[in-house]
Amino acid sequence: MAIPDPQSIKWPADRAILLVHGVGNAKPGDYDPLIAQLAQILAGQQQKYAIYMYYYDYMNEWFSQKLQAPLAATKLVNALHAKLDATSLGNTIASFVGDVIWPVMSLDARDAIRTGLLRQLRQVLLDASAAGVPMPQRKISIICHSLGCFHVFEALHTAASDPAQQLGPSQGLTLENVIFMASPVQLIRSVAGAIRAAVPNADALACLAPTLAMPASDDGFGATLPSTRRTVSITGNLDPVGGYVFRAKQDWAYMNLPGQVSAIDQEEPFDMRESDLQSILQQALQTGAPPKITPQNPHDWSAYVARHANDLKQWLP
Amino acid sequence: MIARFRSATLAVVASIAVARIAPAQTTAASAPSPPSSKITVDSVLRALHAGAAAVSFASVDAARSRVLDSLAVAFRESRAGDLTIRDFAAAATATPGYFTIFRWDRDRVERVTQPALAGALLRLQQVFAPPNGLSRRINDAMPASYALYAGAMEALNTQAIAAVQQSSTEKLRRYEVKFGEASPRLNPVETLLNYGLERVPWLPFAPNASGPSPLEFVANYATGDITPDGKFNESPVHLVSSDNVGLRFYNFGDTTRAGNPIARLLHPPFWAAGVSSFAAVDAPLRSPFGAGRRWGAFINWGSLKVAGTFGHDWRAIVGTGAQLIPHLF
Repeated sequence: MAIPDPQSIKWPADRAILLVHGVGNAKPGDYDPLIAQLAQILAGQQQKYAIYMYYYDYMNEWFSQKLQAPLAATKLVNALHAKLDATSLGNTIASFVGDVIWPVMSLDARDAIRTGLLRQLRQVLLDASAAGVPMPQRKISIICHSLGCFHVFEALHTAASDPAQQLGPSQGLTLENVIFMASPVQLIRSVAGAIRAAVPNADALACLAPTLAMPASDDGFGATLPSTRRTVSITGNLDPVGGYVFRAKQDWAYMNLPGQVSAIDQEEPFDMRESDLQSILQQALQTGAPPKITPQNPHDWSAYVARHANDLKQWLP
Repeated sequence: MIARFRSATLAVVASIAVARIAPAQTTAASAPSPPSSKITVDSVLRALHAGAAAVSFASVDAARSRVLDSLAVAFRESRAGDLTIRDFAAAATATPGYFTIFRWDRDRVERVTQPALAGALLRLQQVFAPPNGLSRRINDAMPASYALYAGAMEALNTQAIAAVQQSSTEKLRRYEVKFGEASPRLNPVETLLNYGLERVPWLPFAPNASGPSPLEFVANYATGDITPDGKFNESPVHLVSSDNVGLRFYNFGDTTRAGNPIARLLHPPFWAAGVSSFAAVDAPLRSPFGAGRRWGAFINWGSLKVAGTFGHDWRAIVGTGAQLIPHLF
């Protein structure tokens, strides 16, 4: 099997968004509904966006199979699935634990996934160039979710600190927005920090740096250029991956970067209107069956996007 | 606006290229080629200098202006100015291959392959890049003339990105060779040993800028190898048990094996070699460490394994990596 090419899109105008997904067995196309949802939200904007999605789960699969993860990580994940399968959130947490092992504990997995992400980001720039968009007019944003936030955070630090990547702010790439949704960066920082001695090349992980901050680089003439003009962190008050457990913020797990725009969504485990509830109860009375109420997944990416549709319109003009 | 910029860029870089084609390049002028194959570093600098003059760059940003001047001198002195931007980008972003170097003037090779070129490219990008560099000044002051002054530099920037992109794809291909679905699986002992070896700084097991290390430590218990009986009275072959310790070397350089089983046999993605200890009797799932064990060696040619025991009770053994109990050893 050949390495998948990075996604290439013909830019319709001067702006683009790169979406980076989180945990799960995502194959190309799986996030098409989310792309459609975002495109619909931004349909009324002055300029159209090229919307990219970076898929990388095939690499998680390489390492999982190579290291015969059924013997370790997958057993752990399956055990968690069994304990937590009452809600789809349980599945999310279980998958999260499995997927986070590779980039933290394996130098090869860390490098491969980061290389793939930077390669996709470079393709965005190559597409901009092919479309003839001058560098000062390009507007590129990243929206990431869950573990994708960790990959973006680490990759942008690499891009800013290593000119060989050709993606540093001083080389012309300053992102308009980096929008983190349910970011586990602080959570990983806490957990990996606690087992730092076991983490290979821990000093190279930006999330374990003395200060947790978005990357920036010297422009070569004394000014500091940030990687992004705006950093947004959104999480829900029922989303443990984003640092909240039962509406309580956990400082060891909630990502709080200097200068970030923060939003905490007030989530409901059963997010429904009174009329919906009435309808469910009436149906239960008619059929004699217990009312079927499905809990909302507070980690759901699509729900984050839907709740922040107006914000996205403002941040992505 | 964007389409206009694009067509203007092509026109400008083509005109610059026509004006600056080196004599050696004119012989190939009849073959159509993209403009970036003809734009030289000198033409990039001249266009930037013209743009800088048009926006009075020296007075609004003296520091960058001075660096732009000094870069022009540096490129001239290193005789890198007449490199095409494609060759310059290749030299500045990665170690160029032998064939790339052979295409250049021999007397220039030593100078243009020096690491300083990467620094020069970065400095040029810092002078040019938005939000503080010359590109923004030109774009703000004269957007209609942006391509005229900045088009060649943008083409150089794109070439640099494309060169790194190629390296990244190669790096991921190497990861696929070592970790992809066709690669040998590691047992828990090998996983731990390789994890530990990657952490020893002076050992070549950790990944580097080119990708994964080609080396992998092998420490497995083979249960599915076979040896001829020799007497042929009951069964022509016996399963044997062995412990194998050695090194596996991944052949990242060979890209001919894609898919075809014969090609994979002729050009295996990995080799391995090391020492083996065999159980005292030719039988499966026996301890190779018990009394009467026999010593030997093994060689892997891809997934094909050939091994032998030494001494008077010698055996020739073949295997394919198949295990009686998968995922354990």
